[in-house]
Amino acid sequence: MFGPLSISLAPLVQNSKVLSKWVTPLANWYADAARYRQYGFKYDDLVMEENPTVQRALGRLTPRETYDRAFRMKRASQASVLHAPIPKDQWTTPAEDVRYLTPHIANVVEENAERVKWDTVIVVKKN
Amino acid sequence: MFAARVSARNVQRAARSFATVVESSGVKVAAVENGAPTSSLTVLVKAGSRYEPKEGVANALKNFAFKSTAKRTALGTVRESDLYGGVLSSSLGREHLALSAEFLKGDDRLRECRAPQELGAGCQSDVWIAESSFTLSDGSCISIHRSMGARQVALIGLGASSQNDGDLRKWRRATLRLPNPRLLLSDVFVDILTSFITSAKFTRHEFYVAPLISNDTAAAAANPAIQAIELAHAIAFRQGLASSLYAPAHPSIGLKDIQDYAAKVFTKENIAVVGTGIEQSKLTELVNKAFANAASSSGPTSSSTRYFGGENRIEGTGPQTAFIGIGTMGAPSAEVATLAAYLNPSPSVKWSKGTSPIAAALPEGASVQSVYLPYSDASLVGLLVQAPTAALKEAGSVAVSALKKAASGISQEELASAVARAKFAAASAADARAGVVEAIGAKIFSGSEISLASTLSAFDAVDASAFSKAAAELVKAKPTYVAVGDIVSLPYADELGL
Repeated sequence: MFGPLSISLAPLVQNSKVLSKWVTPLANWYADAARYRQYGFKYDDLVMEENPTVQRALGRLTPRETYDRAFRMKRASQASVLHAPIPKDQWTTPAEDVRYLTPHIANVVEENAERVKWDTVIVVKKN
Repeated sequence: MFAARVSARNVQRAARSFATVVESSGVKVAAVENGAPTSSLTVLVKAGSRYEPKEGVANALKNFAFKSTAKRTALGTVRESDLYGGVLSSSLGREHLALSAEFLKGDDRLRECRAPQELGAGCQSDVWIAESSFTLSDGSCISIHRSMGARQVALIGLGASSQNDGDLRKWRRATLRLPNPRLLLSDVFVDILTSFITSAKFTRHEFYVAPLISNDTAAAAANPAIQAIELAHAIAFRQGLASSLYAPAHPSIGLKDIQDYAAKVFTKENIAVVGTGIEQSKLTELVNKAFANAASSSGPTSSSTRYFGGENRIEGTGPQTAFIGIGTMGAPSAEVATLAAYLNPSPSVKWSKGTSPIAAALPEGASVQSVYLPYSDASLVGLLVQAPTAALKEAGSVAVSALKKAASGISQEELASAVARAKFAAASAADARAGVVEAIGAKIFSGSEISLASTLSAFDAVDASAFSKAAAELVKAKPTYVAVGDIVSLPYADELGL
């Protein structure tokens, strides 16, 4: 239900100045409370990837991004074994927590929709 | 009926003149009317291999044609041109990159596409009808029907009546709501071609052109004639024109190199648009609109060409090949074209040996082709000899002696026949669309007059003295000798008499 592929009010909030002012502090509190940053993750590491769309988007990451993503996963797995977050100096900072995968997912969704549109077009002779 | 239509078109073709060039916001536009039922549009960019900063970048840019732009994705480009019945192609020469679209000269009786949900209730999305209909300029109509799935719908030509299909009435209602009912094919294809020039995205995930590049290279590597010509250019000119049309076997180009090259060459001064079968004013208007916001800078420079000449040999597969030629500096001249036509041993009558002295003296199994490659500031002329190993030396000697004989003087009759052949080659090249575009492309950037008449009249000015002077000058320069095949047994230049 959550993630770039699902229903989201985020565009609505981001486009409105008033709503942004009120919702942003709440959103930041929530991101901290979720504690994924304490395990070295970025938000896009947690997007559900077990579907063809996100798999296609993952194929568009640069080799560096792919390697870093795998590293963060491995580091967090070790933290999970130890039942404790990673050392505080390694936590992801809010500035680093960039949505690196979401633009690719959005592009893939758009391209899929375009392909469906072209495949079901009805051509009419104008006469 | 068919014959009557064809003869009417022939009359039009005879009366056509060549293109007049109009400069439209910095971009040169030429429109040719040749009375054919198909139109074509070619965007020529001065981005040939002579301008590439790194080996293989020009080839990569050519392979990147028609991928995503700001307006359309790669899929959208292909499907849209497919829908409107056009063929898109890109080709690379040493001087120009050409992006072409060919399509029927349909006028305003076009099809539009509507998504199923816009057509109202009763239209099921599993009914697909792909149907094309074109009205030719003489009013006759061709329509192609295709039915898919369980539903069968026929949309018949001009004056279609919706006798047995309620859905057709719904479609007709839908078409009335369209915002731009008078979209012409030329609009669409100008947009497709120019959006690649002005707003190509060069996305990382579309860099799968790498296999296309290596396919090009592999195909060239398997052909010894291509290998010989590429190496001959490298030896003859050493830089600029020497750059190969193909990428090297292990290219080191990345996406950034292609983007930089595109930014450098896709500027208004570097671009010419040639249309055949499209009205000049319409084409100029479309080009103006497309390039309104394009970048404008001077474009890439290539150092002036110098001819050096030399000898080289490489390992190759296939028939043993040797290229024996000479280069000239300066704009291509009719005398050099006449020399190429004089040396050309291919017979005018099929299955005969022909009257050329080369053809008479060639050993069995050998073949000789005359090569004439004119560029804007240099040309390469010569003979490409292919023969089995044992016969190559003899065939090469025959070719060299023919070249030397041409320099020493030829009879009036032979000259007249050579001039006639050269003239015919130039004129018949202009018959085909590709030849017309090439002929225009050679002259459009230099601003010289583009007309078939002026090209042909240059041949009339070739007389015996001019010819022998040009030939003697050629032979005085250092020849270019390139051999491809079994290195150990290929002949050397001095063995052939060069």
